[in-house]
Amino acid sequence: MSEGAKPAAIEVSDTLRPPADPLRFKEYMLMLYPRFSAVEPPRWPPDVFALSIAPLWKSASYAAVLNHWPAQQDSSVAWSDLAHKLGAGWRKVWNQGSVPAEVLEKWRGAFADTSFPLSELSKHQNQCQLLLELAAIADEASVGLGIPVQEDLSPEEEQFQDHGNELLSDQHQHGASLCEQLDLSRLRVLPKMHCPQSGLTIRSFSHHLALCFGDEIKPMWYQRRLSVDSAFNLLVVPWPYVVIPRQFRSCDPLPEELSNIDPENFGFFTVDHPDGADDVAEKIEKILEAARNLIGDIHGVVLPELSLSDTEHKKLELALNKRGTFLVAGVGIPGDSAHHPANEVRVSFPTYDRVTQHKHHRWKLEEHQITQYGLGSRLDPVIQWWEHIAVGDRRLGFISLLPWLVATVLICEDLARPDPVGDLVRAIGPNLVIALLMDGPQLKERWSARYATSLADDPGSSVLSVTSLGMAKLSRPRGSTATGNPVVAIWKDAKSGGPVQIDLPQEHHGIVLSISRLNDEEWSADGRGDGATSGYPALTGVHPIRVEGMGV
Amino acid sequence: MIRLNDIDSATLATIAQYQQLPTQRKHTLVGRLSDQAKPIGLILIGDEPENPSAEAVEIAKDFREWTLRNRKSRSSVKAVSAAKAEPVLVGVR
Repeated sequence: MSEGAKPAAIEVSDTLRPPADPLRFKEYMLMLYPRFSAVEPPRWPPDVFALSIAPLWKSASYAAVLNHWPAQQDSSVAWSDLAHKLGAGWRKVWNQGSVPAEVLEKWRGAFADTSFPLSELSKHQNQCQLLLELAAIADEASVGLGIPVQEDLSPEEEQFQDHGNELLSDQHQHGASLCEQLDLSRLRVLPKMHCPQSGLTIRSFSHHLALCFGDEIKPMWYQRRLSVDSAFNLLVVPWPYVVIPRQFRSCDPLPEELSNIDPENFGFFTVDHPDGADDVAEKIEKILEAARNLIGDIHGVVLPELSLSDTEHKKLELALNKRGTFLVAGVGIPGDSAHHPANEVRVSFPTYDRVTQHKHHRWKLEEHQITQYGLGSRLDPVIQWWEHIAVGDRRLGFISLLPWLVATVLICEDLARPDPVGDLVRAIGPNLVIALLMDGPQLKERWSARYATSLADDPGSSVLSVTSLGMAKLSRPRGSTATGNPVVAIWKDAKSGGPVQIDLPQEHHGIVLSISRLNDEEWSADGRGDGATSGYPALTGVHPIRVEGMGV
Repeated sequence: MIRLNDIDSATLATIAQYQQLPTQRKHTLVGRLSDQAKPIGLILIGDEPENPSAEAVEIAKDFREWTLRNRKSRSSVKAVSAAKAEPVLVGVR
C-alpha cells in the first residue's frame, strides 16, 4: 500500500442473511401434497395421518402439544375411547368417498390458518391439538393394515383391509407405501409394529402407522405364511465351520471406479468362497433331521453372512422348500472385471419367490481387525481395506408372517449404521430383526450386542445376530493366544433382561432356538393403549444339535 | 413347482382372509394372479378351476389353515415375566 493511501472500506450489510423467507405452513402442505385443501381431507386414513403428523414433526411442535393434552376430554381413557370409536367409524365409511363428520371438522380446524411460518406452529395450540387428534384417529382406523387379520371383520372393514393390501403390494418400482394420494417421492407411510416406550419422538405418537421420509432406501413389504400358533423353532447353523485367512485377498476396483483412490492408504478386499468340497445342503439337511428328532417341527433355518455360494444356496433352498422350511441365508457371488462381488441375504419361503436384499454398507477392515482375524499376511495392516461390493441397490424388506410378527433381515454393518437402515427400522419397529454377520464371537461386550440392545430399547424389536463358527474361531482379540470362544449368536429382546449369548458346544453342528410370542401393552405418547397386541418374540429354548459321525 | 410372486402373495392373502368381499371384487383379484396362482385363487373364492394340480390344492388348503390359525390365536396379555428367566440349555454343559 502506498504511503497516504486509505484502506478500502469493507462493506457490511445490515443483515447477515437475505430477507427472511421462511417455509410457511401452507407451502409445506402443498409440498407434501400439491392437491392439498384446507377444507377437504383425503378419504384414506394413512394419507390423513401423513398430512397431520408431518407438520408436527417438521415444526417440532409434537412435544409442546402434550403440555395441554388431552385437548377436550377429561382423561386419557376418554380420549383413547373417542379416538378408537372415530377410527372404527372411519373404516366403515371410507369407501363412500367421505370421512366421518368429526374428522372433517377437525381437519378444517387444524388447517384453518396456514399463512404463518411453519416454525411457529407450536404457538397455535388449538391447531396442533387438532393435528395430533387427526393423526391418532387415522392411526386407530388403520389397525391391522399390512399384517394378517386376527379378528372377524365386517364387510366394510374387509374392503378397507383389501385396499390397504393392494396399495402396499404396489411396490415394484418405488418401494412400498400405504398412501393412496401422497406420492412416494414426498412421503410414505408403512405399517408399524412397535411404538417406542422410551424417549419422545414423532414415532411415540402412533401404534399402527409409521411415517417414513426419504428415498435413500426402498422399503419393501412382503407377505408370507408361517403356520404356527404362538411359537416357532429356528435352526441356526453357524456355517462355515472353518474360515481360513487365505479366503481374504485384496482386489482391484472396477476400471472406472474410484480412480482417485490412494493405494498407499486405501484398498479393496474380497472374501473368496472355498471350493465346494463339502456338500453343504446335504449336511444341513442332516442337521435339520437331527433337530426335528430332538425338538419337533423346525420352521426356519438361518445361516450367517456369506455362508453359501449361489450354487450351494439354490440346492439348499430347493431341499428345504420340499420340507416346508424357510431359509434365511447370506450368499456371496464372486465379481469379475465388470461387476462387483455381491454380498446378499436371501429369504426363501416354500411356494414363494425368493426375497433378495443386498448389503448396504461396505465392511472396513483396519489394523485392529486385521490383527484380530490374523489377516496380516493377506492385507497390509497400514491400509484401510474396504469390502468390494456394490452398494447401489438399497432395499430393506419387511416380511409380514403372523399378526404379531413382522421380521426384517440385516447384513452385518447394516445393524451398526444408523442410516439409511436404522431410521426405517426404528420407524416400523419390526418384531424380529435377524442380523447375519461375518464377525467374531457374539459376546455381550461386543458391538452387535450393543446395537441389538439399542433396537430392543427403541423401538422394542427382538434381535438375533448370527455369525459363523469359522469366523468366531478365527477371531483372536489382541494379546490373546487362545482360540476364540465359539459364541455364534446373541439374542436380545425388550422383555427378558440382558443379551443372551448362544454358543455352539464342541462336536455340535447347529442350535435350535425356540421363539415364543409374548404380548404387552404399548402406549402412545398421547395416551392410547394398543390393547396388548404388541408382540415381543422371546427366546424360550436353546437346543444344541449334534449329528453322529459328522465332522465340525 | 409353484412359485408365488409378490402380487400373488399379497392377493392370495387378501382372498383367503377376506371372504366377505363382493363377488366382483374377488374375481378382479383372481384376475391379477399369475397363471400358476390362478387355480389357488379360484379354489379360495369357492370356484372350481379345471384340473387344479395337487400342489395348487395343497397351497389353497394351507392358506385356509393359516387364516383360521391366525384368528384362533388372538392376542392376550401374557405374563411378560415368563421371559425373564434365562433359557435352559438342553443336552450339554
